[in-house]
Amino acid sequence: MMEHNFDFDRGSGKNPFGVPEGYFDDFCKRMETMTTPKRISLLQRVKPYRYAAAVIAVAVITGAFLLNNYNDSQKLQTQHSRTVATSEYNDVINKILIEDTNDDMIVDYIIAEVD
Amino acid sequence: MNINREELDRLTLELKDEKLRSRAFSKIVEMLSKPVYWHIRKMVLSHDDADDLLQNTFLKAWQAIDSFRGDSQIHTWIYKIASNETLTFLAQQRLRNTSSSLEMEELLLNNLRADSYFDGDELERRLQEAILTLPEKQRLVFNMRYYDNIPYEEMATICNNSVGALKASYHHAVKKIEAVFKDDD
Repeated sequence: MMEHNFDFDRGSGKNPFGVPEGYFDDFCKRMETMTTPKRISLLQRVKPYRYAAAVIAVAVITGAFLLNNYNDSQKLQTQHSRTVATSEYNDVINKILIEDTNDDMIVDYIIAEVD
Repeated sequence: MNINREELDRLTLELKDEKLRSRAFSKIVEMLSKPVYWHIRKMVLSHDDADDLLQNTFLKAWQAIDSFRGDSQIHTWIYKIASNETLTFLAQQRLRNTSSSLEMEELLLNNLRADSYFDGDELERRLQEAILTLPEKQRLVFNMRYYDNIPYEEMATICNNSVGALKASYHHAVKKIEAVFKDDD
């Protein structure tokens, strides 16, 4: 039998374990960091709103730029269409005038102008 | 357990005040981290595991502080969380690494042998090995009574058990440990 002097009735056993030096102090500091509510500055509090505002501003500027481009291209297209339509109209009128005008009509016109 | 109960009661009241809560909890951690650490350490034996479990215990207590109604004293409540955390950890470790209680005992014995922070002599090491032969809940009861001298009434709250059952459990634990020493011829 292995002899021992443990007094199990008294219940005052010696703790045979140890810890690294300064362990409990470090543990308390670690826990304090984990359980202390972080103070949030006004600048940090409005940070999400600043991001949202920046996104909205970029969207508005991009939208305005795209809209502007679209309007310009529409204007150019209209102008171009008008120019094409006018020249086509003139061609048709000229064609009609030339085709419907004979030499007698020209002579009559000149005589009338001279008079 | 050498705890200033009056100071703990005062801090428990401060926990109800949101402005004082965080500071009061830090003070409670300061007062209870040592006894709760030893309570866990004697069960898991390894310092690293005990450190993780101690942190989990206090974090869980902090997160559930609103649910602490003061039916029991704050240190009993935290001991209870620590005991549950420890028993859950040991059960998970058994599931992960071993298939029998004998293998689990061997795993914990290896933790003990490899522990560079074990300050005890050969006889104390032998006592730890004998304690490891006990079922986990009985080990918990033995450690609380033999090392921490926790009154049976408090142990009853921590373990959700009757005083009579705990006295019987401690008595059986001592018998088993004596038997281990008797077999060491």
